Amino acid sequence: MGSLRIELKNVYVIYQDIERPALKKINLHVGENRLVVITGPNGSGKTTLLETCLGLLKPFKGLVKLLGIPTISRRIYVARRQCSYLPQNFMRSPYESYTVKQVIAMSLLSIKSSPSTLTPDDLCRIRTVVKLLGIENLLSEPIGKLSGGQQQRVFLARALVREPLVLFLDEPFSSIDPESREHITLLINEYTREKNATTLIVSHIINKELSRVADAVVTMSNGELVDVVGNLY
Amino acid sequence: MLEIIFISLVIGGLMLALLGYYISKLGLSTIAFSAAHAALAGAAISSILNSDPYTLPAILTLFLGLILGVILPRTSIEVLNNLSMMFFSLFNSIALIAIYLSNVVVLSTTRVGGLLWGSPLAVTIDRFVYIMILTCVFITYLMLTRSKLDAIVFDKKLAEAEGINVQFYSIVIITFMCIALVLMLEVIGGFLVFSLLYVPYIVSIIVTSRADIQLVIAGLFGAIITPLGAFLSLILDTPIGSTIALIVSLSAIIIYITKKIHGVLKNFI
Repeated sequence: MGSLRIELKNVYVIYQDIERPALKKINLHVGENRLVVITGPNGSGKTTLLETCLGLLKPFKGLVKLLGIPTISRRIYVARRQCSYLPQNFMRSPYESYTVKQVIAMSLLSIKSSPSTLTPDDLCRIRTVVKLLGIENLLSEPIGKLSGGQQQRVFLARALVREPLVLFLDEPFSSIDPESREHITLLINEYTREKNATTLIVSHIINKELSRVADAVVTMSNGELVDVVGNLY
Repeated sequence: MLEIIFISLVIGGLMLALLGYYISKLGLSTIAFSAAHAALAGAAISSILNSDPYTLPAILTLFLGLILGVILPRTSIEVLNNLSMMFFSLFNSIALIAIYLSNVVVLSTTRVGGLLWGSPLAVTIDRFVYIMILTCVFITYLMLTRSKLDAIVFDKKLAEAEGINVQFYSIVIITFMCIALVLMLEVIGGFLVFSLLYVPYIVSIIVTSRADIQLVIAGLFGAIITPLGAFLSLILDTPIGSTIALIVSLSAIIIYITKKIHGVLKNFI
């Protein structure tokens, strides 16, 4: 058994109503070199679970650790710098003028000590990732002018270029055309195995390729984990 | 002395415009609004007490700015706006009562005039030095943290998820803003100083949609228009703060209309 990257012990999360927690009695331990899919109907708490793992939402009760650091600790920022996140609501307004290259570079620059500029190695990483995702010809385009599918690829590139230990992907296929989903699934799986990373994918669509490469599928309903199939660590 | 006033207006205008860019992009506008009025209340009370023009305004504005900055991630924008407006009313009423009392009690007419309308006479050597130091520190800070600030401006939640302490960076910007407001308050006037925070930013987004150029345009606009407004106020014998705010706002409207006409003509031709 490898080291645990994500630990949730008897976790409850509430938004407003204490009587209706968004997450209840969650116990989850995910180790390294694991690709885990979290699935369930709308409103079941999948995104809440992802944001709780990252520490963006604090538990009302219970303990959450990311890379061994409790998410309520001030040191959680250190852990997050070794993680990447692809949010569900990634779409930018048509007026958003940051170019694709700037958007991807931001995630690299933000983890460097200041003042920071891109090194040749960073540029090489960016070139490799955008090529893998088929967006190499969009680097100088403003992100707001791109389609939903292209923007989602840009955010995926932003997540991968950091070479994170833990990758949190919230509905990463929602705007991707069915033909490309398989390719992107394989890409994420390859990254996970190569870098010994941990990947959590929230998806209500589990394509054939995803179910084949996933180490575990976690099903949620009404804020609870109702089923875990496979190996989490 | 005129050179010092001119340089203070150029540098002060630049600093407020750069700060205003980040204040607006980070959604801290209502905090800036109430913090400006906390500084005004502090300056008005200082004039009654005949104390220095920096300490009390700085304490009040920093106290309010930092409290709202700490509350920021823990509440909704709606609650934050309501809180800011409540503090705006509170400090505005305190300021007006103190201004009324300062006229009666200490006859500090010149200073009260400075508080309300702004006055180039408020640019003393010590204020000039403070403005220069603050601007140098802020620009250095920007150079060191630009990439992190850009990531926050692009997407606060994503930046937080990627390990940037968004609250810390927001509070640092609020702190710079509070000190800048205190330093420029009696030069521009308490009721209009925040227009130098917002209008250059508005001009920058009218002129270009490119995020990397907007900051430069806002800074240049603030640095050019502020001394120009002051110069016109001398020629026209009008209050400096109101004249600067008027020139700044009119310029923004003219730039907007010009851009629209240009767009229409371009499509037509």
